[in-house]
Amino acid sequence: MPVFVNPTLPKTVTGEFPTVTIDHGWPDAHLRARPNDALGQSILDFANAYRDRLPASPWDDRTGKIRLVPLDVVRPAADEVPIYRVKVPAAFLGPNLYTAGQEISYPSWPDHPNQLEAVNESAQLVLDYMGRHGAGVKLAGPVLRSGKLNMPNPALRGSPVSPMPRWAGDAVAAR
Amino acid sequence: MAARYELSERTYIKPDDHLEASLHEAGAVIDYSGVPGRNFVPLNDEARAAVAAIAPLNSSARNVLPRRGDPAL
Repeated sequence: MPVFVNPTLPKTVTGEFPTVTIDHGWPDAHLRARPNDALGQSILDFANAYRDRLPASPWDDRTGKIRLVPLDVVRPAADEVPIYRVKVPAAFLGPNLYTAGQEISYPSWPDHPNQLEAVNESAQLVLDYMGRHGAGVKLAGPVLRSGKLNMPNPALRGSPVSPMPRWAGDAVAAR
Repeated sequence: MAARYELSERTYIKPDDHLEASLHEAGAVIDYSGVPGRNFVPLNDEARAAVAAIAPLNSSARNVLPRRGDPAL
């Protein structure tokens, strides 16, 4: 998530200003972007341009990414159901088994997104989100809720589920 | 026209015109474009073609996979 420099605090022992990570919400006007941080600078520029009527966060649940578009550009009220095309000889999507080339509408998180390709924009957004933020986590529930895509900010959804078992020594140390 | 089947037993499936998968009772008629299971009774030509397309796979699986009651089990 975006990290900003706070020049109002004393410098650290390394001679740099302290940084602050903002997972939810917008940077205050006194914060600065780190050098060569284009995303941080974009967020700052956007926040300063629309400071009086900003949404809750730069993160947009419906697109599954930080969205910095002018506030007068609005998305449609509802999102399409994601439609995928099977690109392997056979693939499960939920309980159903499909063969290569079939197109399926599916509102939940696909278990094996690498076996699918997107047919519409909703599906592309879901596959992009899973590719960037889906590793090692269990994405539960339908991705399409009340007609809108819901891809939560990964910084706010808690610790990822570790794919590795805990070390046996952990249990011994906890005694 | 989509392949149409009658379910011969209770089945958890997502028909084409449903948003989510759900449990369907035996006797339910569904439109389904995926690979039919053994509990799918075809009702139209598209469904019969889908069942015929996987018939070789089913027969070879029967020859390879052990079944309940096999002496080796």
